[in-house]
Amino acid sequence: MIAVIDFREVEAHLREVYDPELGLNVVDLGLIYRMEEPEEGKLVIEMTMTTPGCPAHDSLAGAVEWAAARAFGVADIEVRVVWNPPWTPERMSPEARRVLGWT
Amino acid sequence: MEDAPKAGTMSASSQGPFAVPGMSQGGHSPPVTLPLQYMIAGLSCFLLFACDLAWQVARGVLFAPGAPAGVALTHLLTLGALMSFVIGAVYQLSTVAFLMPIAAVRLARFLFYAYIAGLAGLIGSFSVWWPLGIGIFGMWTAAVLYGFCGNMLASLVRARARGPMWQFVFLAQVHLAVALAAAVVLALGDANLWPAVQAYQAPILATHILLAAGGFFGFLIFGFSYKLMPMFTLSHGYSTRYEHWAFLTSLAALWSFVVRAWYPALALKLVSAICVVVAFLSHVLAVREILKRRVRRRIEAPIRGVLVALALGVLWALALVAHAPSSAGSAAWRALVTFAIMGFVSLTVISLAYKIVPFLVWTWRFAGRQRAGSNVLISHLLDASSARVVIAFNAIGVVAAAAGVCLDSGWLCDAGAWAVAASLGIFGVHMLSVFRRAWRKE
Repeated sequence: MIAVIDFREVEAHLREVYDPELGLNVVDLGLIYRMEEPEEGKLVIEMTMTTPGCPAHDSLAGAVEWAAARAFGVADIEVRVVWNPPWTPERMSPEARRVLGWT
Repeated sequence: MEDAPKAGTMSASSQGPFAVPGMSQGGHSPPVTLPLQYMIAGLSCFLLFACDLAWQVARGVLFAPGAPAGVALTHLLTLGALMSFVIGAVYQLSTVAFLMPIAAVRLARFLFYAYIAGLAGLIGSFSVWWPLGIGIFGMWTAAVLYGFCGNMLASLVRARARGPMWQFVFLAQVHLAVALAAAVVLALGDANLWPAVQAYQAPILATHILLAAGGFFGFLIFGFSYKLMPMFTLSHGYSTRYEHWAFLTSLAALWSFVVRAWYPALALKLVSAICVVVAFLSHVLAVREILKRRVRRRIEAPIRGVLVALALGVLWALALVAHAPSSAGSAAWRALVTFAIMGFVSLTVISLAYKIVPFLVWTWRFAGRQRAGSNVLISHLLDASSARVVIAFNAIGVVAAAAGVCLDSGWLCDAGAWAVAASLGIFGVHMLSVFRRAWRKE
């Protein structure tokens, strides 16, 4: 299999997807757990939410799917929302921690 | 954003139990969602209440016991503003908090219109004191609320996630059902259709007020706090041990008060008051546990408003211990009930509205567009810090009005009522600005 998806480009697109409540993007929040290309052109993204039963669950997962689909070479996407391992604040980037006042 | 999305697959876990009834996530122009409809109705009632409150103060008829205008004003706040907001919140939050769908969505949609019609008729009948209208629209509204209770109970029994929050919310529906039954019995007595109950009017009225204000609104506020506080402060890994105590002592407090209303001779006066204090303190400790583990260090103004309301609730509970009124319907009893409803319940609802209403409007107008690259954030619709002035005016107004009642000071009562009316007016302007900004952003 030839890998055609550039994960850095996918990540750059995902940085445009914001949690509407926190005003931070999903990458800096540490919501994206894993990205892989199990077969040529197929992108699988494992992500989580900051809170189980997050009311913005559907829209955020949909936005991630839409944004990732814009990357070159992506023909098919599967977005899996997982709760294990649970999200922890340690997953946030330094910038996100600074914005939330968490150190 | 010129690219169209390519073929995609959403995993099953992102659908189903989280889908909020009536909440279209991807349509171009989805209809107003059911929770939002209720909240718009609640907002309208808050504004009407503010106008009526100011009008009654200006005419010098506020706090006239048993006056039709006072009964109408009370129900405009409780049955109109608070109940509408709370029903909307229950529909919205239950699905996400308990991972369950609403049992009968079509019934829920139908009940909204029936509720608005019944409410308008009942408030109108109260204001002109039309007994037949009160009877007809009272029964109508009660039937609608029974429909709501039944729908929620049928939904809640299917819930997968249970715990103290679920217990609070489940029992809140049961308490509302009993409170409605008390209201129906009262109405039958007033209309002379069941004269025998007139001798028990005071305990029935007390049962109605206790179960509606404490058993329904109070239980929902306590219960949903355990979902909303962690969600809005991003709290993780906190202890829930106090939540169980808050539930057990709340239940004991509520029912000891109800029993006391029927059997004043029983030595329950101090027991019930102490139970209330322990319940509030347990709840305070539960909230403290949540806040201790929060990721968002800065506590936003609406959450501070919830904490101010909780402080007023604790103050109210301590006042009960210091002076537990011996008879339902006395001036002290009325003052305490008013303080509980306006100081704890109403201020909590107003504060949370600053978080919930913008979120619902965002979901309604922008959630689907987020997929198309729109990055409108909730903070673009409403600056949460604007809640500060409303919370301050409201809390000061409630405390001043309560102090006025206690000190028998007319001007203090009036000043407090003006402050509350002004705060609700500003609150209305803020909420309307959410819709205005949403339309501008499109």
